[in-house]
Amino acid sequence: MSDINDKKILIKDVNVFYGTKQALFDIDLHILSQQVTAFIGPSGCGKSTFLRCLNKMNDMIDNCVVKGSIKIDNDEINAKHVDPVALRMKVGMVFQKPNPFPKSIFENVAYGLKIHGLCNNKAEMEEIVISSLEKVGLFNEIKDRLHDSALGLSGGQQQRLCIARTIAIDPEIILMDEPCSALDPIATARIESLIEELSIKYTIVIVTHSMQQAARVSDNTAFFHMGKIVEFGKTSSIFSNPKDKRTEDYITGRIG
Amino acid sequence: MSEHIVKSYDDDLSTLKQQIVQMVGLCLKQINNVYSAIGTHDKELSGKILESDKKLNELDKNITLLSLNIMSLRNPVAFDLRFVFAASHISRNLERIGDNTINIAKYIQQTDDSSKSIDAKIMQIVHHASEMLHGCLQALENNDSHLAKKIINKDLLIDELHYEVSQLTLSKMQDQPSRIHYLHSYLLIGRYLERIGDHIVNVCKYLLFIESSQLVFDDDDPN
Repeated sequence: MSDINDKKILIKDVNVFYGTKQALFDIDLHILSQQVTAFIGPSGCGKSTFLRCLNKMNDMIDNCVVKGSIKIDNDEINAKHVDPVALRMKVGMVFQKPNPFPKSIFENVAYGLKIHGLCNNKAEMEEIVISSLEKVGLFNEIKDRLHDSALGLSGGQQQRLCIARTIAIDPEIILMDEPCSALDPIATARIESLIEELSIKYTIVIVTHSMQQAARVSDNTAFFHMGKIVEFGKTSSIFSNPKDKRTEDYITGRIG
Repeated sequence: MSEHIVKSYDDDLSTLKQQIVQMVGLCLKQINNVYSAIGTHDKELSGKILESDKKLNELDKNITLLSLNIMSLRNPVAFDLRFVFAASHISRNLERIGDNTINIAKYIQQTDDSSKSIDAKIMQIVHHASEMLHGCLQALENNDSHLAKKIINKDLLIDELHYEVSQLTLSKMQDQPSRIHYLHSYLLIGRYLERIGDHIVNVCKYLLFIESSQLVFDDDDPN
């Protein structure tokens, strides 16, 4: 695990194409270890595309080509020998809509452990499942129905279950693509508080449409516009004194 | 600055700015009345100053409430946040300028026209304060942070003149102990004018903050 403030992810000259259409242009960025980095920007600006580059999720889209260098702990993830499955163990992901498997709560969290063969015995698996559920503040709410279907949980509980499923396999980086957009304000506050706690151990990158959310949860913010990073810096300065007029116009709700 | 997508947000910010401009205008009027009242020792005029503070207080209240509303309902950030934050501080300082002109008016009523040399110095300070406040109005209307900085530096002259008024008054007190009761009003008038200078400086510091996000505190050098 890297030290705090180390450059956990180093991105250089990344260009992404969907067929002939270029979606990202010359992206240079660094993501600091054990900090929360938020990507903001209008729809279609490329922030989710860029997030998916960080764990090679774009490889699953047929006509998508990613060029450039993305190094995690100095290892190039776009190198041919890199196994995407192994990479995604290190770089977990939480999606916009909670997507629990149609299995029990316990099975959902245990799933990654099982397929990656990360536990030696049942007791060890139980311990990891429970501690993951505890870390996301869900265990006390559902301890009597661990073997009930995960689909019976509320939206907020399902999203925390998905985060528990992600951290069960002990990743180093967690990518979150608008993790609260389908949740009510209380469930959102729980997830935001969880992000704050998780950032002590994990490096978190979050895409959000809520500027207030970016301001509340992140240490650093990158503003994307038309496939480019317009501004990147400490969240407090981006939201109090942005340097670029486009950033100012976007975050203040002005017509650019 | 371009327009907000939500037009009513622009309307709120524009109302806030208009009310501040109105307050600066009222303060200027108060200060100019102080200038005339000192020159003429006109008791009626100083009575008018006492009455016209109500409008300033009302505007200060409106600005504070509107700023609070914008903060809670619109979540302002960047320039908007700095402007709304600064607006309530600026209005509080302008309201204090109004209070100080009232205090001055009260003491003008206790002076007569037998201390021309002190009157002249006091009028110099008032004239200077009026110029500084007029500059504030321009800096506010044109978002001119350079002008705001210049005005901050001009306060030194008010401080120097205030010191001269104090020395002149004290020496007159020694020469004419029977007039101490009248003369001591000048010490207080000088002090209130010096405070007005400080409040104008505070207004300029917040104008500077709106434009540059640089918060200048008392011991900081704005340059």
